[in-house]
Amino acid sequence: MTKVGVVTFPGSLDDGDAREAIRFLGGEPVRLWHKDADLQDVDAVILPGGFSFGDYLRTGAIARFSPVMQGIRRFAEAGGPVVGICNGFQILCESHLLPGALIRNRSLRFVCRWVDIRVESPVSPLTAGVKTGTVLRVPVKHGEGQFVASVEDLARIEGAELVAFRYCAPDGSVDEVANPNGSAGSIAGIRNERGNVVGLMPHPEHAVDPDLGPVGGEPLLVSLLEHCMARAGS
Amino acid sequence: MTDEEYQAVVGTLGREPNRTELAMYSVMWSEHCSYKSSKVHLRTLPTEGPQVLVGPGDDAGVVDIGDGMAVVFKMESHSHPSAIEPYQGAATGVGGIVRDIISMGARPIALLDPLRFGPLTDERNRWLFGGVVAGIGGYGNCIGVPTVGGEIAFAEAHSANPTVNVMCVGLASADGLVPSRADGEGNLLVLMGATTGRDGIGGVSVLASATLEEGGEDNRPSVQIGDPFTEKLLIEACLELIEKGLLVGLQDLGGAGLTCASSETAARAGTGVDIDLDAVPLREEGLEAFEILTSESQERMLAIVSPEQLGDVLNVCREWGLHAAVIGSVVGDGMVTARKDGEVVAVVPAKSLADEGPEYERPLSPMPAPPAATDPSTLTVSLREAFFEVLGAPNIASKRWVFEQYDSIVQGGTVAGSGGTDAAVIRIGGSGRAVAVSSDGNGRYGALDPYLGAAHAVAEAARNVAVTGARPLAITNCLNFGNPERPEVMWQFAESIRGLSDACRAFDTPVTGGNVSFYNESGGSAIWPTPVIGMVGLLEDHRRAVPASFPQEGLAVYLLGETQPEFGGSEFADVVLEEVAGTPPALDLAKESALLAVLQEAAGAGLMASAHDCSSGGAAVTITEACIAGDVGVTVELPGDQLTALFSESASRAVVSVASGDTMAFEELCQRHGVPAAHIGETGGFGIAFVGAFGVTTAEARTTYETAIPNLLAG
Amino acid sequence: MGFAGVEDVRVGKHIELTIEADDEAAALDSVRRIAEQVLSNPVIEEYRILESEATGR
Repeated sequence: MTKVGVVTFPGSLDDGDAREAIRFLGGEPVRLWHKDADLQDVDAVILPGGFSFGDYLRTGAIARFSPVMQGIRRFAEAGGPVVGICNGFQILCESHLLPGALIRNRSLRFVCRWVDIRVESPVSPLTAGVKTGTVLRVPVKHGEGQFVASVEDLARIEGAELVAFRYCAPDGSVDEVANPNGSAGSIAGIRNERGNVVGLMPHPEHAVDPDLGPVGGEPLLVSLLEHCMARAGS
Repeated sequence: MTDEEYQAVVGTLGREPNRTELAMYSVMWSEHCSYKSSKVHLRTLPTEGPQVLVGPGDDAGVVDIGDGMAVVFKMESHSHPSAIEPYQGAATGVGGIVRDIISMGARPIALLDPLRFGPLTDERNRWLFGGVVAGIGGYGNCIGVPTVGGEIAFAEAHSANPTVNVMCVGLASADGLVPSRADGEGNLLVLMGATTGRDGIGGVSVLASATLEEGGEDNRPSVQIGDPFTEKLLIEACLELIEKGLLVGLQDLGGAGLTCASSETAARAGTGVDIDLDAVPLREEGLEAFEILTSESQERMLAIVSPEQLGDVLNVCREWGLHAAVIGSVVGDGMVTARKDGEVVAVVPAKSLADEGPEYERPLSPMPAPPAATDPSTLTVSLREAFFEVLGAPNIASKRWVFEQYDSIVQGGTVAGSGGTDAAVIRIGGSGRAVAVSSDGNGRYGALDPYLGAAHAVAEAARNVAVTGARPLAITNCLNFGNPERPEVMWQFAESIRGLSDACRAFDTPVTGGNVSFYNESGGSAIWPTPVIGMVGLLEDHRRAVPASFPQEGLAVYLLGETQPEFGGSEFADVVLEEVAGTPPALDLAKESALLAVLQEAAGAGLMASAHDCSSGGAAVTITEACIAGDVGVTVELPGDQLTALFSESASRAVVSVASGDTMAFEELCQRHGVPAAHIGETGGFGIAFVGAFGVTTAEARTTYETAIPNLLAG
Repeated sequence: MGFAGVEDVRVGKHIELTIEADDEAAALDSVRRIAEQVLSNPVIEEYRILESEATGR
């Protein structure tokens, strides 16, 4: 069974939900404690949502110094699939595993809402099994989810097709009305150049169980599990 | 503290209290902690039933939901601090109520925040509203507990004194509850969590025990500052300690701080405690004994631990990065003894502090009868205009601006959360069961008739739970009132208690606890008597939870209950006639019980596609909300006089949609319970058509409904 | 809110560090490294080191 590690930092909130989603979709979740650099031979790692260490200095700023992040850095360098959700995305940016940064929403208010996102690139563990252009309904819930980057970085992100997801209208068109936080280019998630590290603000783990609402997160996490199996098989 | 209260202390101690002891008594015997004005009335409430595992008097109430599981819940007020510093006042309210739930041994699974403000046309009210909502979100979103509900209302009477109530629901195993008792001589007191500082010395207890007058901002230092990150660590550490069976007892530190936690746990166990104040981790140097004993620094819990398990307890705290210090031990003499710098600084009987506070039977005097209501048929506006006025009234309009600032989905249990539902539905992992939770109160009804206002609040809460298909189990409450030393206010309180009692008895939903918040007034002008009810219900199968919105086209729409011309205290009277006058709608508790039974049975049999409580704003609003949330049109023909049919707020009604194959069974069920069920129309079409009155498109209704509050906030 | 004449607003964090080092230059060097690597994120923030004061410990 595919083993997916889910990191728990002090202040992680959606770690249990991420583990539950992996279990729901047939994977084996493994709890990774922030003090352990040993990743217990997992096939993939999820950095979950929350407010690691309270995020008092800056979102993700302290978590990146955790022992577990040293293990994750090595894992990523070896090509291991790493997914950062919400606070996990912020941590990946702070760790320079992904470009850019996430700042306060343009509204200056926390936003919890179901949104539509469009899959922009097949090159990531979350999207390898999903057709580009697919529109998925998933929730966001964050106060600091506005993606920003320098002009050069943004050009590089767009040029190298590092955008994994954009916020969009239900029909897939990208406009500012559908952008919940003011992110540059309506960017909801990005990947690294190698394509094994991906971060996104929306929460796919909260959109897999039809009893609770739409299931736009299911194809993404199924893709992750299948991607891991394909890697293990090759 | 009054002279008589001081003399009572001297009588108990057999000597004059020293300064430290006096400080301990003055916080513990404050209105906030001792319930001295309300106790005689609270005793008349029904508190027992087979479902009740823990009733009033503990940190929170507990009800049995079967399968060895228990729901723990409690509501509290944080109005006074929020009036001074809205963000921190509301944030620390959330923190406090969450700790009440943890201290029973339960994992917090849901928060609800009933709020009352003055009109948003006023700038200060907008500041209070924005600050309170941001504070609730800022704290709740950081601790991983979903905020799933809480109704919001606006009225001039709440301008000077906003009402900020917080409710938390938790889940525990019925045999894993942790007592808030300091049992076992020789056991150790372990203080966990944040360090103790000067912030909030006598904060809640002092603030909430007197009225705020001009210049209340000077009280800002009395408002505590919240640290949700530490709270999250406290939650996880406490739950791990409970799961590992390492605790003898557990209590949170809230109002009156260490004095309250130590004396209450000792009094409950019939023991005493010996506390070494030098062992309390301090945030700053030089705190005096009375400051350490009464500080209301947030995010602290007191654990009672056996010496053999101390090592394991400290290890768990260390793993979570949480301060933990042994600050004393349980003793057998029944006294709270505090030492500092090697000397005894206070020795007082625990029971005297915790249980033997003063008790007053304050004078009552009925308030003057409210003004007579205008006859609504003299109205000159059209039904259509009146409809848009009511739909866009802040009390009715969408609260999206608020609930989108709350994380309502964390923990993966929210079947129905904020927005478009009458009650939140939270499934209980793995069991298939779910709890339905609602908070309700109706200020206008209470202002016109406090007895009916309270009874209506219970009835609406029960109905809101029942429309989801759940069986109402029990209530908690927060009773928000003015100055109890005024006979009129005390009469309102007594009448409200009478209304609560009657309704709770009728629905078999006992009171498991709650909170009384007095002194919500300034300059002689009190808030409306506002009893807020938090109702918990049980759904056997969360997949049978009934939504409030119309799910599809082609369904038969029914209006259950009887409609009379009852406009007293209605939303229509408030916004169209611009008055709060007359008498509130009548409430027949037997008819309400019959409706509750129909809703539960119909849901259990899968006969209802949707069910929505019909209350504020009348049937017009109920039907429109079901259309907007479901994005489905409707054509209905309401019987009788259209003004009454659309806007009357007659009690004990609901709007239900039923699939065509189920209508006969549904009608038969209603008939069996004696509940009138009028088949008023069908779902479908582009708009909302009230045949014989007017029609609107769903889009224009949505625009009015969704933009009203953002427009007001834009100034 | 009734405050006129405000043309621009900047919000920042003021962080005080006490450093043990051989001399002022070494202390400033550690402060600079801490500021770059932990206290600020160059993508969205910039930092300035304001002043130093020897405590003589």
